[in-house]
Amino acid sequence: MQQVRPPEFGEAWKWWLPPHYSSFGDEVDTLFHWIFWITMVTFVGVELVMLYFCFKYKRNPARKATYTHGSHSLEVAWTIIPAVILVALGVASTKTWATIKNPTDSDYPQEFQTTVKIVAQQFAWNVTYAGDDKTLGTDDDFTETNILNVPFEPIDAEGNATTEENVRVMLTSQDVIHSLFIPVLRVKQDAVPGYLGNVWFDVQRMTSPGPDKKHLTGDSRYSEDGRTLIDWEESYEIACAELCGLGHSQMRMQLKAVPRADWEAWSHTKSAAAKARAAAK
Amino acid sequence: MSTTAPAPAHADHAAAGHGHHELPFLRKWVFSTDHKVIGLQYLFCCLFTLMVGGLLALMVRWQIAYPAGAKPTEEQVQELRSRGLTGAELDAELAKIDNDRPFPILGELLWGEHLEPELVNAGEVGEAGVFGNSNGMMPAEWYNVAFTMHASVMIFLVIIPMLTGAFGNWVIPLQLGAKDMAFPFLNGLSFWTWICAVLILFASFFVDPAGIGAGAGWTSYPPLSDVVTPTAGPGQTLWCIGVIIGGTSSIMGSMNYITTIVNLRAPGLSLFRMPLTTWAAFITSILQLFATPVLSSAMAMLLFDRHMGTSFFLPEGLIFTGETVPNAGGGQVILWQHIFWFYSHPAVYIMILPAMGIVSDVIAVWSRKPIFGYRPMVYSMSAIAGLGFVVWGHHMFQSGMNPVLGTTFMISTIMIALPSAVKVFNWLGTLWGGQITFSPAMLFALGFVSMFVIGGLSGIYMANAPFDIFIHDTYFIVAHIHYVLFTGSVMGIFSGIYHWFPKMFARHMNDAWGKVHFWLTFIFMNGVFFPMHIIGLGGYPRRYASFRGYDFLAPYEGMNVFMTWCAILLGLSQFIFLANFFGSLLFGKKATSDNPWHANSLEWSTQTPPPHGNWIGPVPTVYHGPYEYSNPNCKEDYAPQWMPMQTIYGGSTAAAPAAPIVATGGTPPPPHPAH
Ligand code: HEM
Ligand SMILES: [Cu+2]
Ligand SMILES: [Cu+2]
Repeated sequence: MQQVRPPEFGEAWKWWLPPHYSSFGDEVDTLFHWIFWITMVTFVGVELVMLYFCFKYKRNPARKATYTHGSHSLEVAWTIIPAVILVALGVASTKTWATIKNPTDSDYPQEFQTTVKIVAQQFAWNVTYAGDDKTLGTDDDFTETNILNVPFEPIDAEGNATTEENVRVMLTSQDVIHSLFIPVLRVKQDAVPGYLGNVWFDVQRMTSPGPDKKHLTGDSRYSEDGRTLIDWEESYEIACAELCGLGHSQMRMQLKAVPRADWEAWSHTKSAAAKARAAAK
Repeated sequence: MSTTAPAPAHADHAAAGHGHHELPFLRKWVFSTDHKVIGLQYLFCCLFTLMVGGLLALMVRWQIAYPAGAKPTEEQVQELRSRGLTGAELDAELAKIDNDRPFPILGELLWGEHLEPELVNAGEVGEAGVFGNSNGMMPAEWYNVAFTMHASVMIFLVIIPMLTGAFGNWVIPLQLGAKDMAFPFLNGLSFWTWICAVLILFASFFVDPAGIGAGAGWTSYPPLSDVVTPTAGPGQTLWCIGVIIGGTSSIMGSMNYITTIVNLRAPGLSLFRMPLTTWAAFITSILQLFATPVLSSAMAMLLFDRHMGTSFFLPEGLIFTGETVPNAGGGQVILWQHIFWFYSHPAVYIMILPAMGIVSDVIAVWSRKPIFGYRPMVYSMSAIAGLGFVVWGHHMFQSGMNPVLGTTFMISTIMIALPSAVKVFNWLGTLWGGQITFSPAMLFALGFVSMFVIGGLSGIYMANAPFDIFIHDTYFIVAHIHYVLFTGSVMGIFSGIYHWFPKMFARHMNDAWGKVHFWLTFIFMNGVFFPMHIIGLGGYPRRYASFRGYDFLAPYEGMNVFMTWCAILLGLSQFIFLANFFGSLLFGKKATSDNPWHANSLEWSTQTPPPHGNWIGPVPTVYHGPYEYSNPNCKEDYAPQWMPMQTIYGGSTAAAPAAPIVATGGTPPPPHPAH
């Protein structure tokens, strides 16, 4: 089967947010849309009023300027109204923030189906997988550089997850600060030396190609006309978002989201090899 | 101190012969203690540093648009194909294509001769440049130095000294009716200390044998800035020292302004009769005085870590290029960020509040209206300053800081947008019903208001912690900073220069060229900075030497090139300003009036340019607030602070103060201007 990129790839997202694939991506983008409309209305309003005043109150010797030092009620109004909007926005955002970052929150995952450890360095990501025993720090762990391979969370055509696939990344660095940035998952977390941080995410993908082509990205395979999604081994880009030295712009990692079974098979092969190597030592 | 200045002190001062004896040249123009001379010294030096900072910005932009390693374009391949080339032949021709573009003029001078790929492949080496040889293309280390120094120069050597040093010095004592600053010697010392900082920061380009200066960003996060490596060598050390010394100058300056404003106000000038430029300077100085020592302490710790074996910011087990860092252990990386932002968040308001003050005065004068909501303006500036000390964590949402703190900082940060909004509404209120003249000063002030809105609103996106996850450290942040600092502070600076130029130099700048300067600046700056929001929404990370290597960044090449060319045109437009500024200085229309704009505040009451000691004879007495424009009780549309309304205008006495009528040495208002 020929691999064809859909014509709209890349260019399609150029003017707006890229697509999102994590379960919290939608909440984050919803907040963005709220802020976008609130700020747009404010912006357009302020600029229009200003332009109007500029034309209407252009110097005209026939007229005298209005003599006023202000208006108490106006001041109160334009303090209280934005304050209410801003506080509402803040309150509405706390929940999403907690879901993503705060382990004590009720929506923070209780269970992680996959845990990996990433040690960043100048200028690479070392990803250690737990291996067959699902425990980090044992002989069957294996480390891959610049590849983050995780099982995806299948969702049906209605967009509901059929099983949970939460991934936890234990994140640190051995030299300077780096930052794990996965644009399509709306994930970013600094990798700080001397501190083992936590990030979690899930990668949601449809079990069958949806009509909305929501998932058109990465190395998916399409029919020759580039229209129909046939098979998809998706891979997304991960970038480093914190200045870390000369190679900062070259710290690229691939995120691969594969079906659980494929992932198990891959992990088992790697893990067995690592175990054999350890035994041979 | 009460609301009146100690008048006897002024009298003594005047009696001592101020303005009557000539100082030797060096004392008068170089090691001066006269606030006006010092102000102008800052002004001229800052115009120079602005050009340096601007050049660095163009280098950064060029690198982003044209990083090395450009592949043959689609058209070039097609062209070769159409000539019937295929296979190995085609590959050979493709290998000859050179799409790399060295920085115009300077590229080859700095980084060596640019050779065709054919010659490079044949092993030929071109002539080396000042900073080594990388085939004329900017190497990554230079890119890092360029953006680090661009930001450092713009912040520490242009905007802060221009606003507090140049305008603060020149305008404040005059608006206060003071004969000079409270501590004139300290004032001169502060300027020369700042000059040392300039020299040291500039020297950081040249001290390193490898030709690399400070390249850890203006935020200089450890361990990158902390461990001495080839990429953070002597240049980084000098950078820390330069920032400490610059900070020392700020501290001296701010103490001076605070003391002057508290103690040396003219008789009758209560705090709430001060023009907003002076109010802004007052609040800014308080911010500076409290925040700057914190920055200095951070820098000192960084220096100790680098050169004395301490490890304030270095945790155990750091491995750099395969080797353990010997002094690492027990430190906290994030500690730096807390200390640094505790200074640097207030610092961003140090960079905007004075511009807000200037713009307020300019808008009032050029729309012949009292400031709408004078007290709310003062209160909102104070609120910005106060809240400014409790929001620093919004720079650290993704740093690994406790997520509960993230929530707290999100709320406080969102709230700081409120006083900014109040200020914008009050500026609009001031325009309402006005008599607006679109002078260059007014155009820049209006530009400030309209563009600051964008910067303030984009702040709300980033203040939103969950959404900041996505845009943190992307070009969205870069868009934000430039909308507040370039389209904000820098436009405020231009506005101030056009407004006070006739008082400073007794000549007028050319109006028409001023307007051309405004429109070109306005258009091109939006061309540079607006698309940054868009690529930021696409996740384009900041501080990337090259977008090549990422599929998701490839679509932004066109926008990057567009922004770069807008930046170049923006830079070129500033030569119109420079020509106008220096041309007018020498040949401009002579100022015929001491108060050409019919303004109310005290700086317009004295001779042009103001003499040594600011007023010949006693300082003026103040009878009312600074914004009595278009008062219906007055014949004229303005009422200078130094004149009791009923004496000059013969209006009804209803609005007149009970103050005695005194001869003041001020000039009576000239007839109405023929605008
Ligand atoms: C309306 C109120 C404002 C809000 C809510 C706001 C919010 C923020 C936030 C949340 C960040 C951090 C973004 C991140 O790194 O993820 C930020 C960065 C920044 N802001 Fe603002 N801001 C406001 C006004 C201003 C003003 C008036 C200035 C300067 C004159 C300013 C200058 C900066 C600078 C320089 C940075 C970037 C620092 C860096 O990382 O290099 N901001 N702002
Ligand atoms: Cu990096
Ligand atoms: Cu801040």
